[in-house]
Parts: sequence; C-alpha cells; structure tokens
Amino acid sequence: MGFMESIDLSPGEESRIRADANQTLVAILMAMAAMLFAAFTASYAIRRTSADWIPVPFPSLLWLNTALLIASSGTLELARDRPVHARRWLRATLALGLAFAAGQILAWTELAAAGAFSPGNPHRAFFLLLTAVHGAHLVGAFLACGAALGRSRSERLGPCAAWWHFVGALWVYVVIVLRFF
Amino acid sequence: MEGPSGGLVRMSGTHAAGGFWTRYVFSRDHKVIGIQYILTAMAMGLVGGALAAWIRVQLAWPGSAGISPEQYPSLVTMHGTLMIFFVVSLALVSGLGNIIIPLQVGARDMAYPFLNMLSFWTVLPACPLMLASFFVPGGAAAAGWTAYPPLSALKGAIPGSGWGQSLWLLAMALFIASFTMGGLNFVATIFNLRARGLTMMRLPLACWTYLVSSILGLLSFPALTAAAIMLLLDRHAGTSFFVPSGVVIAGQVQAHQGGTPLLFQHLFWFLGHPEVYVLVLPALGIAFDVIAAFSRRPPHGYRITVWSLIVVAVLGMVVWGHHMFTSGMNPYLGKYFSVVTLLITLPFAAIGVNLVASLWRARLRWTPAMLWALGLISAVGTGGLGGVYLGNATADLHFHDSYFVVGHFHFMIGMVTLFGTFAGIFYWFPKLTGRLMNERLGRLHFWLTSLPMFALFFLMHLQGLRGMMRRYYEFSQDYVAPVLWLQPVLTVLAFVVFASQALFLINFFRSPFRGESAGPNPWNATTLEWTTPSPAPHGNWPDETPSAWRGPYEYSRNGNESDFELQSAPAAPGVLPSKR
Amino acid sequence: MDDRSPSPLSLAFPLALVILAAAVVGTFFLLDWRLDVASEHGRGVDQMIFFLLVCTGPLFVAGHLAVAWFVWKSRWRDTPAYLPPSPRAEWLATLIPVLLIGAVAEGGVLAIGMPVWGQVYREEPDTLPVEIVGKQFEWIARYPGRDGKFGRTEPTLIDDVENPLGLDEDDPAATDDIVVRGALYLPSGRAASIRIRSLDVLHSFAVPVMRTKQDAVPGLVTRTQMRPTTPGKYEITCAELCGMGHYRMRGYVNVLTPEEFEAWRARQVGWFE
Ligand code: HEM
Ligand SMILES: [Cu+2]
Ligand SMILES: [Cu+2]
Repeated sequence: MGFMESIDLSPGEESRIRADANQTLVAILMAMAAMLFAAFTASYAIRRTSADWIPVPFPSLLWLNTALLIASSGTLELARDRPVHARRWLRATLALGLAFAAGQILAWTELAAAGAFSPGNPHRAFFLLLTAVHGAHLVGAFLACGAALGRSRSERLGPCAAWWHFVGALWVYVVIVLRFF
Repeated sequence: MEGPSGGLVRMSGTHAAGGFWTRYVFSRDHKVIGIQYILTAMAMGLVGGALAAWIRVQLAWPGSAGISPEQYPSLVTMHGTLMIFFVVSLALVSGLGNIIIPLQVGARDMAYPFLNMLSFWTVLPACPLMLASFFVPGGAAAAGWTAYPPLSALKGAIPGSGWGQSLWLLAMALFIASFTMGGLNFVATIFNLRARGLTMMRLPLACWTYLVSSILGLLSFPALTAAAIMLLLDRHAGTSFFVPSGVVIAGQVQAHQGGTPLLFQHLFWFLGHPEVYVLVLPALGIAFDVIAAFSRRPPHGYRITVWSLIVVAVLGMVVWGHHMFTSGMNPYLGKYFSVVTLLITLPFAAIGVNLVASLWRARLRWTPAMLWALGLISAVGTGGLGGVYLGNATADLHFHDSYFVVGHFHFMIGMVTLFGTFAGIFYWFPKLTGRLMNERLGRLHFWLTSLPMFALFFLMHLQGLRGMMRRYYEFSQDYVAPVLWLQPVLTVLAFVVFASQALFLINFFRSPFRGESAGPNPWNATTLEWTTPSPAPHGNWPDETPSAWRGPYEYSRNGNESDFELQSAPAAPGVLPSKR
Repeated sequence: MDDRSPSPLSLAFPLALVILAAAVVGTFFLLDWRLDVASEHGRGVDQMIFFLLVCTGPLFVAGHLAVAWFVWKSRWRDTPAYLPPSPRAEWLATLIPVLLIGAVAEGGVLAIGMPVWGQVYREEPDTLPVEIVGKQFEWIARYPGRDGKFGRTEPTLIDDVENPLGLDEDDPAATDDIVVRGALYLPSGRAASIRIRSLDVLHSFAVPVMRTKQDAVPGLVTRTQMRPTTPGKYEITCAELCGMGHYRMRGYVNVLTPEEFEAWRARQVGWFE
C-alpha cells in the first residue's frame, strides 16, 4: 500500500515534487497508451477473422527500423549513465530516432507504391493505423527528449527516458502484431 | 481575517500575477479556470436544456413543436451529447474539480498550470463546433450520443450522418484531449502535491472521488479514442472497421466490406460505462463533504467508502457489456456481464448506505448545499435501485432501449450529478468570491428543481415498464396508449425544471456583488481550503501553505471546546504532523 | 446561523420524503403500467420484474424513511452528541443493508433470471424456423418453405418491390421461401426459432407483449426464441435507433392456433412460384 503511506516533505523540496509529478504523469500516459493499443489489438483480433483479410507483405525495411529504435534506447541509457557525455549520447539518441522516423516514411512510400493506400484491405488499414498512431507517440518522445537536450542539466532524464523506452517497446509490440498475427 | 470581496473572479494577495488578460482570460490559476469551465457549462446547459424542453413539446403535443421526423434524432443526440460531455463533465468534473482539488490538498495550484489552461482552451472551441453542426447541410449528428455505426458511418443512412457527424467527431476529439489533460493534472496534483501530513487516508472524500474518477476516465477514454479514429477512417478513408459487407442504403449497395458493428459497441461502452462513474462519483464525494459539514459529524465509514470507490472503479471497467444484452453478443457473455454488473451493487450500496448513515445523530444545518446533498441521497438511492433492474439480463429483455432506461440514467447522470454540482457551487462559492449565495433563493431553486425532476424521471420508469421505446418521434403504437396521457404532464414538469434554473442564475450572478460577506470559514468546516481567506488569493494561501495534522472530518469530538477542529490545527505544540 | 430554534425545514424535509415515498408506491397501484404478456418466457421475464419490484420497493421506502427519521430526530439535538461507533459497529451498519441489496440483485438474476434467459437462447429440438429482416423502415418475415431451408440471398439482387430480400432465383432452396412484409405468423404453443438480420443499419426486433427483444445487426445473424401462448395480434416495434423513420417501423406478430397456422401456411406460395 505504498501510496497510502505518509508523505513527509520538508519545505523547499519543490524540484523533488516536480520530478515525482512528472513520474506520475508519464506512468499514467503509459497506461493510457497501453489501453489505446489494447483497444486497437482487440479490434485487430476481431477484424482478422473476416473473410476479406489478406495479410500484407511485411516490408523488410521495418526490421532495420526496429534495430535503430532499440539502439536508440541503448544510447539513451548511456546518456543517463554518463552525466559528462550526456548531451552527446542524447544527440545520438535523437539522431537514431530520426533515422527510425525516416525509415518509417520510406516504408510507407514503399507500401503506397504497392497500392497499400487502397482502403479495401483491412490488414493494410491496420498497418497504416498502428504505425501512424505509434508515430504520434514517437513525436511525444522527441519533444520530451529534445526539451531535455535544450536544458543545461540532463540529470532529470528519468521520465522522458521512460517514455522513450516505452515507445520503443510499443513498436516491438506493433511489429509482433502486424508481422505474426 | 477577511479577504476583500468583489467580482466573481477577483483575486487578491501577494501572488496576483499579470494584467487583465493573464488574470481572467488566459489564466493559469486553477480557481479562475474552474470558473471558466462552469460558465461554459452553464451556457451549454442552456442549449441542452432548451433542446430537452423542445423535445418534450414534440412528445406531449406531436407536430406542434415544428420538429420534423428527420430533425428529431438530431435533437435527441445533441441534447444527450451536450448534457453529458459539455455540461456535467465540464461543470462537475473539470469545473468543480479544478476549484476543489488544489485547495483541499493544500497546494498553491495544479501540478501543471499551463496544461490546465491549455485544457480549457482546447474544449472551448469544441463548443461552437458542436453547436455549429445544427447549421450545416443535413443538420446535426443524429445517430444518438452513442453514435453507433453503420448509422453514424454511412452518409446516406440519416441526414445528420453527413457533415453533422463529422463535426460531432471533431468536437468530441477536442473534448477527449481536454478531459485527458485535465485528468492528468488532477491525478498528479492529488498524488504529488498534497500538504505535509496529508496522507491518503486523511484526504477528504471529494478528493478521493476525483482521484478515482480521473484514473477511471483516463484509462477508459483511449477505447473511445480508438473507436472514434476508426469511425473517422470508415467515414472518410473508405476503410471498413465497423461497416459490414452488403449494406444496402436507399437501394445502393455500399462499397464497405467485412466490418463488425458490434466491435464499435464494445469499444464505445468500454468507455461509456466507466464514464457514468466518472460523472457520478465526484457528486457523491461532494455530498460526503457537504453532509459532514452540515451535520456536524464525520461521515460514516470513511475507510469503507474509500475502498468501495476503488472496487466500484475496478468492477466498472469489466461490465460494459450490460449495455449490449440484446445486441447479438454471445448469450454466455450476457450471463457473465449480468452477474458482474450486479456485483457492483455491493460497493455502490455501501457508499449509499454510508451517506444515509452519516445523518445518524446529526445536528443539521439547513443550507441550500445541504438540501442538494440530501436530495442527492434520494436520487442516488432511487437511480441505484433502477440499476438493479437494468443489470439483470432477463429483465433487460423488456427494458432495453425503453423509457425505463431514460428515466434511470436521468436519475444517475442527470439528477445525481446536477444535485452534486449545485451542492458544490453553494458550498465553495464563498471561497471563490468571499460572499455567500442567497439562501432563500437557493431553497426555492432546490424545491422547484428537485421535486419536478424526481416526478418527471420517475414517471418515465413507469412508461418504460409499459414498454415505451426511447428515441421515438411520436407514439402511435396501441400497446403504449394507456401511459400516453402522462406525456403533457411530464412536459409541464420539464418546463418547471427548466424555468426554475433562472433562480439559480440570478443567485449565481448576483451574489458575487450583493451576497453577505463570508469569513475564511463560513461553514465552520474542517478541511484545508477553509484555512485561507475568502476569496482565496492567487497562490491560494497568502503566506505558508498549511500542513495536515489530523483527519478531514473532526467534527463534534467529545471533550473539545468547539465542535470542529481544522485539519491544519496542530495536535499539540511540537508534535509533527504524521500518520493517524 | 442560529442552531437553537429548529428550522422549519427539519419538519418540511422529512415530510417531503415520506410523501415522496408514498407517492411513488401509490403510482404503482394507480397507473396502468401493466402490459399483457403472450409468450412463455415473457411470463418468466415478468416474474423477474415482479420479484425486483417486490424486493426493491421496500428497500426504496426504507431508505427514504431512514433519511426522514434521522433528519427528524436531529430537530431536538442541540449539543454535540456524536460518539464514534466502534469499527465493528460501523462495519455492521454498512454490511447488513449491503448484503440485503446484494442478495436481491444477485439472487434474483441467478435463481429467477438465468433459467428464463436460457429459455430464450437455448436451441430447442422441435422449433419453427422463421426469419425476420429489418430494413429502413420495415420488418420483413421469411419462412423456409417446404424444403425447410432458407435460400441464398444477395444484396445486389435487392429490389424494393420485386425482391425486397434479394433472394437468389438460382438457388433451389430459395424458390419456395415464403416472404411476408410487415407481419410474422406464428402458431401458439410451439417455440419459434427466430433468426434476425438487417439489410442496412442496426434495428432491434422488439415485441413488447412477448417480452422479446433482439437486435438486427447487418453482417450478422442473431437469434432469439419464443413460444407464444395466446392467439392474437401483437405489435412489433423497433428498439434501436435506425434513422428518421425509427418510430414508425412497425409490424405485427399474428399468433394463430396450430390448425389456423397450418391452414395459413398451406395458402402461401413461394417467392418464385
Ligand atoms: C429537465 C431536464 C431534462 C429533460 C426534460 C430531459 C429529457 C430527455 C428526454 C425526453 C430524452 C429522451 C428522448 C428520446 O429518447 O426520444 C432525453 C435523452 C437524454 N438525456 Fe435528457 N433531459 C433532461 C436533462 C438531462 C441531463 C441533465 C442529462 C445529463 C447527462 C441528460 C442526458 C440525456 C441523455 C444522455 C439522453 C440520451 C440521448 C440519446 O438517446 O442519444 N438529460 N432527455
Ligand atoms: Cu453501464
Ligand atoms: Cu429502428
């Protein structure tokens, strides 16, 4: 019953309170994103049982993208571990994230060329939907970590790193759903 | 100590910031934002109420209201949507929540004041957007507040499914975004900004209900977000998430293929059911606080209530299927949803019983806030017992989509929430303005609103027992004939309710200037908001924020000189505030 | 605020509550809300509702009287007399009414409700197969004909006058299907297994006097079952918003004696005959 225990704060602990609040915020945002993707997954599971479901070939470029995003989580952890080089590793993280985003756009155009934007096929519709909604969550990760870069002190990376990793994990989940189900 | 009194949102004290625009318009002060929400909700409430009155004229004297059968579903849809999302959600949850939470937890403001401001300015444009849909080709959305596809997905299915439904979805998207930002702030504020010594088990019940309600809303709105995105794609991008193959509208076979309408219903009600708790629970929390203050004793069973709230919320997320007993869902699922739904009666009844038991050995003070809280007990009891009928899958074979349902949900999300809102506004009004609302007008408003409302919505239950269906433009069926004579009666009652809101408006807008001045603690209440001057200044406390040394409801303790003890009153010199 | 002289409200309010409770109970006896019932499971549904009325009625009255009583008592108390109850007493005061309500709610649905629910949804052996199809804004009934099989339908074949259900002429099973617009004919005493479809949006096949209600969902065949008990003509209504004509989407269930029903069926010809 941790959260029901007494909290005992001495005055002037503003910044600790702020950090705690940020943590609460990110935890709830994660739970919300999880609910959102749970709703999409449930829809996916129901929709795929209908007769017109034809799996779209999985663009192999996405494997590379996945690797980039996982690597970016690694560099972000390095940034957290080494306060001295934090900004350098943070820049690397953002670069890897941008590369991922570029790769995603490339994969979309590839699919578009193959006629994926014709709306008839439900698997394609889900493909676009899930990658797009994931992209929207990635934008949030960019904003959070970009802001951390802008600030002079990068020690308080906790909440934004948590969101970045979460978005990475979300992507792995999306890949598993789209590729294997 | 008495603060300067004056205009509705007049601020004072050392923390006052900025000029007119940053103080009253683009304000980040939670109290100003709360008032902005309430004013917005009042404006939308006038529209929603006028729609209800207009609908009632058509129902009482068919054809005399100038409503055509094409327009009727639009009016019902917009009435429901406005009332739930733009009146009750904004006034009770966003509005009063904003006002109460930081003050009760002893914080200077919300955890994220800018986000808070953004939240209001996101929902504000949604209001004209929603209302504008009356004036677009085809008229406003007409698929019900539930927006079930295919009706809401196919433009030809009903006139309002063209432009109107698109605007509806857009306005709802803004609403969801705003409500999410608001909820995040509520939760972060309650979890992280509590005063020293204010443990969770010393939190006033109003705060507890806002906490549970916010978490519940945050976790369930994503399902509606997902459904709305897919519905939008079905409407505009040619996908088929919800529209099946072979739908024939006006002789035309539609291009959509393979979707499942029931999927939308599941997603919608995954939000829709928790949403009613999101609205109802804060009203209950306010009732607990108000009843404690005006019965001069602690509420019965604080801990039982807190745990019941949590159980209600958890169970509330797994019972959405009780809106779908007759939908064609697997009958075994129907059994499951029925049994689990009726389990909620246990914690919910515990909360209700605790409200009643809180009056045992009370010394009542008959303020209008107390009248509303007592009226709320009657409404929540009656509405709750109605829920026992509707959660019963077998009985629902008769009640589904009948006026029994209309009567029931008006008791819960109409009466309980409005009664809670009125109680809250009367109770915290002095904290915002430094003045009291007029009691005589308040009492008159109470009687003229609560009794006709009870009669109106109770009689709807009986029409529902007779099998009268909802969302009907008129009733030509023979089997309902014996209860149709009630229609004009209900309409007259509705007009009394609608007209008596003028009393409230007069009171609300006059009292900031003419009301009796209130001291910092006009009700001799105990929680932290009553330790600061009225009106509470920008930053809430002129100097240090208070600490909590004791529980939230120390009324009528034996052996004490006064009959209440502020939460911030030290137990003894030198003792640190700590756990009870 | 003067606490010494009791406010007139401490008399008016409890009185209002008592009158309210009495009025609510009274309306149940005065108003004509009772609807005939003409199906077997419908009687079960009514028993379920009756059970709830009988059990929740006293709870409603008791709750209102309790509030009225506590409020009334507060009239004479002018010194703080509140003593916190022991945790045990507190628990008991909450638990007893809660268990009572819980027992009514769960006991009712488990003991009375579920068997009736089963009657509606279990597959019985010797049922009469019929189909009812909703479209904006009309009910169309179909019988499988002599072969006992429903023929194929195809949305593209639908023609509002010539072929409202889009029956496929090339399917031999479809030739003898009987189509009746706006009315369903059923024999009394025999359970009808009703398959329900929709051609366009959601509808709900509702026969209030039968206590039958089942949504018509496009893309899905839903099912319900009823055994009419009394011959007569009963109204079908629509219980799911389906468009501007929702309120006038009507039809009739004509319940005939078994002999009359056989005679009626013998007179019908298949759609393509
Ligand atoms: C005097 C006040 C009110 C009156 C007379 C009134 C009347 C009505 C009526 C007659 C209907 C049913 C129309 C039909 O099915 O044909 C209705 C529907 C509805 N009302 Fe109210 N109402 C009032 C206040 C409220 C409030 C405060 C709420 C707050 C949440 C509310 C929420 C709804 C909703 C959600 C619907 C369902 C809309 C739909 O079917 O899509 N109403 N109201
Ligand atoms: Cu529900
Ligand atoms: Cu209909």
